[in-house]
Amino acid sequence: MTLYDQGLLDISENKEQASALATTSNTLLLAGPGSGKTKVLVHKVAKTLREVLKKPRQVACITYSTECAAEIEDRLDRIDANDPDSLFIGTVHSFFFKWIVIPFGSRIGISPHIRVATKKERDQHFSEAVANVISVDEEPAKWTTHCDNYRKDKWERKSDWKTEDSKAANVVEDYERRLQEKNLIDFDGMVVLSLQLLHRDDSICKFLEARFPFIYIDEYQDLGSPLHALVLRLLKKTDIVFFLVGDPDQSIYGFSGAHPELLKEIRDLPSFVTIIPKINYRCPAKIVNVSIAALGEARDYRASSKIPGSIQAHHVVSGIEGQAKILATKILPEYLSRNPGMQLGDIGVLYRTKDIGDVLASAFRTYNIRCIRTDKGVPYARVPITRFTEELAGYCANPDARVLLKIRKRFHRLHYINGNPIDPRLLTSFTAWCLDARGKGHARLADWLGELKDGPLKHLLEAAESADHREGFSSLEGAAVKELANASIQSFGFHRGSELHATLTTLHSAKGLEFDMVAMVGMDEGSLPNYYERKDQKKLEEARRLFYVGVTRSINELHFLYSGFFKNKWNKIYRNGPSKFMTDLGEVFDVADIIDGK
Amino acid sequence: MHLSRISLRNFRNFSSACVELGKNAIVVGENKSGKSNLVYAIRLVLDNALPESQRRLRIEDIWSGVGSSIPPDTEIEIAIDFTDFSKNKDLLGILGLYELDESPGTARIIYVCRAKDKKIGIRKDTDLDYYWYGKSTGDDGLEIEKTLRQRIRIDVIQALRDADKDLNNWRNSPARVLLETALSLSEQSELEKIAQKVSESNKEVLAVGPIKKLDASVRDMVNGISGTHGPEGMRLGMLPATTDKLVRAIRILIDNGTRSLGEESLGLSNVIYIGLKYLESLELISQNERDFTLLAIEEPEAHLHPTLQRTVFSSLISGKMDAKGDEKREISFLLTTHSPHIVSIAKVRSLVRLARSAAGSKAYSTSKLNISTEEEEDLARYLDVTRGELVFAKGIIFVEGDAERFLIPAMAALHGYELDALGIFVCSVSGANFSPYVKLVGVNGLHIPFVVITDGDPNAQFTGAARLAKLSEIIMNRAEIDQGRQEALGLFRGRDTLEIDLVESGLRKTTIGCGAELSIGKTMKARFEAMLTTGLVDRDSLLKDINLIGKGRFAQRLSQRISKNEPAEIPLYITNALKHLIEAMK
Repeated sequence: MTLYDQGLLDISENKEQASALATTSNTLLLAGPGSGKTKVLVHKVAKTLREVLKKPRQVACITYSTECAAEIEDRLDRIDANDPDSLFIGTVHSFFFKWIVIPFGSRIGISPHIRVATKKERDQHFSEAVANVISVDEEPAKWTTHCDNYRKDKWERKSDWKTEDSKAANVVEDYERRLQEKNLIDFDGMVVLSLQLLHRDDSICKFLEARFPFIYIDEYQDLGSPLHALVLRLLKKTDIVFFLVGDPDQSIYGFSGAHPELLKEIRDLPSFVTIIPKINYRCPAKIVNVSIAALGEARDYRASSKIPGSIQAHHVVSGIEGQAKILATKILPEYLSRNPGMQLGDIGVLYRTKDIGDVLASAFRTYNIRCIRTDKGVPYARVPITRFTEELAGYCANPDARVLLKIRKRFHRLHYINGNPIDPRLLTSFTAWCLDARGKGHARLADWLGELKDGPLKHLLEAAESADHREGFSSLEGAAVKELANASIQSFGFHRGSELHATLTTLHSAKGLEFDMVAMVGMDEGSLPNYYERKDQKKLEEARRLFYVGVTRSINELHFLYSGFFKNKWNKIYRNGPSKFMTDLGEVFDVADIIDGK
Repeated sequence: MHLSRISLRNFRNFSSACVELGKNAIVVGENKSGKSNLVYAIRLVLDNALPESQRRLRIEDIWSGVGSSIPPDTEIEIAIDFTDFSKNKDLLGILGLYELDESPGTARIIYVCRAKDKKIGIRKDTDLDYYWYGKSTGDDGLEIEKTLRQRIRIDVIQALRDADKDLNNWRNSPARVLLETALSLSEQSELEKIAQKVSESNKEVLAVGPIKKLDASVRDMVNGISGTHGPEGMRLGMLPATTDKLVRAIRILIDNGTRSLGEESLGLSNVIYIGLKYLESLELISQNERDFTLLAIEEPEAHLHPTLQRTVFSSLISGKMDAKGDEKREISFLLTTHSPHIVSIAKVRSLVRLARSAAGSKAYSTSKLNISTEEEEDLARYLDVTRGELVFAKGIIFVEGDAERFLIPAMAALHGYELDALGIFVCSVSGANFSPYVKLVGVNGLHIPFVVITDGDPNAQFTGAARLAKLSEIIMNRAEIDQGRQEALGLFRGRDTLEIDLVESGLRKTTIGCGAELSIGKTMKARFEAMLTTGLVDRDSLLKDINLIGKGRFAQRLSQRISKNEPAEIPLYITNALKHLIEAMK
């Protein structure tokens, strides 16, 4: 039986998953944590490709990030369903850019040779705009998030654009003008322009329908109102069939314009069928129940895992440093001895801010617990080229033929410009280089990067279109002589997850991950929820969801660590007790079950 | 969907030419006007099967007018526009990307061949490279996906083809796709039964005495000379007895299965070949292997009797042979021809004429003619009946009727103009409605130099002057009454009717003498003879008599008389018309 067939069989045993797979019209899958949504999505794509889609039409699969896109591609590869001629898999931005801005931008004066602005360019032009519109002394960082959100929310540029917040409007317009003069575009610009084009010309909607009769979107709750506006427009003007996957309870990116209400709007549309899977395959029953209690609302989820699971709270009086020490010296070793089959790679340590992460990393180093941070606390840009280099490093340290195949594909994709194939000689010489480079895991990272730059990555880095690759790579080179000066290729390569390293990550970056044991550090008022969240209802709700995300990462054990106070970056102490999210649980469950005394 | 425009720049004999197209195109033009190059140009853009070596153009392919030292920024550019694809979702999904901003609903695909490096320039063939773009080659240009050339196809049936050979060669045969599809849909058990029977027939053939002996001696010989290295299991037989090889053995037989195609006439082989090619395209489209085919046929008339030319191609072009009558047709034709019979069945709006000029060949089409439905029908009937001859003319004299058709060439000969040799046709519009014809060959149509010669008809309700004024409006957007200005536009009128004008010219005696010769009855004859002697002509009586004789017959006899004549003054307006036309043809 093929893996695909096995997958279909598994799905058929779950009522809601089977329903979702079988739908032929607009569907909303409200998939809670551990519900197997990626499996359903991937098999649905495969099923559509095999049974419904006719050449030359295609399926578009839109995800939140390039990592998610890569993961979906991997999973499609595994069931032999990745047909690049019939599929587009990419982020919202790459979809907008490739299929709307580039082909049709000329209708509003945008050249198809427009280049994506690097972060440096974005920051520079934005600062110039702020200086020009507000004042030279104004701190640009104060305006960034606000202007970004204003720009996205008010993409229609109706009459309220200038009137509701004229300063923000002017900054945005100035910034956009500067970019356009340099023939640059930024991510939000892609979104705004796409929406403007779609509303200007119905023919573009018709083209999208002709090309993509099926559009599948993952993590809908994170993708924001612009994508929502796109979906609504296409629903109105075309017969495209949508399959949207999301979980409003895991919407934690409000600061970047995500709104969980958008899912509700979709749900209320008559043309949509809403399916809510009930089974959580990941968490044990105890943790499922606790997670529902954490949300504070009723949810019809139940666990399928037979593992009993456990939840413990640890009061550590000496603050974060103490929590880190107890974790490293007591809690983790005890967990490992309790569970002899488990390794450090099965442990996830979750926290709110990078500062806490720094403390933990330092403590783990002191007590010799191998760990890796998968949050944004890496000292270089997290972009496709650095991701690729990380994987390549992992391969060099631990050569595995399957990994090589994956890396070749990534190499190919990096060189992919407008669907035209890479020079096959480049791919061959790259493969030869990889085979040669095996087992060199202990060499110095900085040297190795130099070899890459003059070797297999030379052509890519020197190409005119590769400005962002160059920028990303040089940030990596910079880190290699500074923060990662002592790093070996191996430690760099295993960076993203390894069986022998515990994972340290922020709650925001933990989505989609799972661990046998989860330790949530810093569960204190002032940290989670923080000062602003304690004052604002909406923000509090989002903080609650962040807590929910953390809790639902666990397959077996869940540990809370708290001190009862919060120390800010100026070392001022606020004694507001443990996180209310944690203590609220005590209202639902027997206190003794949850809070473990000293 | 169909091609709506082709533009060529600096390609072979085209310096800069652009032709608008309709659903189908029938391309005419003298030899060396560029018909084959036009087809080749389309292949450069669209043909997925064109080998790389043929797509990579050379210096010799650059329009020679650029000079012997080729400017480094010279480009060969071929652009093809498509339109009418929005209802077909497959095509919209591919072509929609390349829609022109200025013409929604039209997409453009461009092939460019230029210097790899402008600093090095173009001095040898390897300095050139080719590229494809969508929409434009400038700042708005987009790259082309490879899917496009897989789904939008051109199939070329070349001149000098060997239909027989291609039909019998499995790999090239248009029947291959069809037979393989039929095989895949057939019941395996039925085919096996047949294979079984073939196997038995093979055995029975071998049972025939002399054949059995031959079989043995061939085997002995070959095995004898090759020893153990020879072919295995060799024996004589008719067909390989396996189901898949059976399909390859299926061929077209004529005369109820008694004769094979090779014995058939070359013409009918061609018909079969073309029919199969069409069917192959229909099949590939219905199997969703492609979305559109342009069938380009060079010299479709080859080896075909005129009647067959007309029936075969009017059937194919009309679309009545399509599998699904109601679906939008996705096969277009482009025929390049020298045959008046092919032209005669063309739709008026699908004619394209290539003409050589000092500035490279130019292409003129009728697709954008501004004619009403009735005018179109008139022209269609005209082309049908006259076998489209006017399309092949180098110069045209439009006249009112058959009488002029006889008389004008005779008169021209008197003046030393051999109209035939000059490629000038005299076309009768059978009446006085010159408008559609003038539009057809005018500057918005086929662009053929022409003059109109009409009667003066001063006493008629619609005088010759008025008639020509209306024509001048078509040509110049301004109605001209002044005779001089009308003549400057190629519009000529007599003073009265042609017969009277002839009598008033140097052909007076010849004309009246003809009347005398053909007179019916003594009274009429006397009248004519009186005219000869007295020199007095009664206009109305003369015309009445000619009518009784029969205008056509009169003209026919008169033209014979004229050709036997000494050079004489022909009516001035006719002389002027001939001079004007000769000048315009330069």
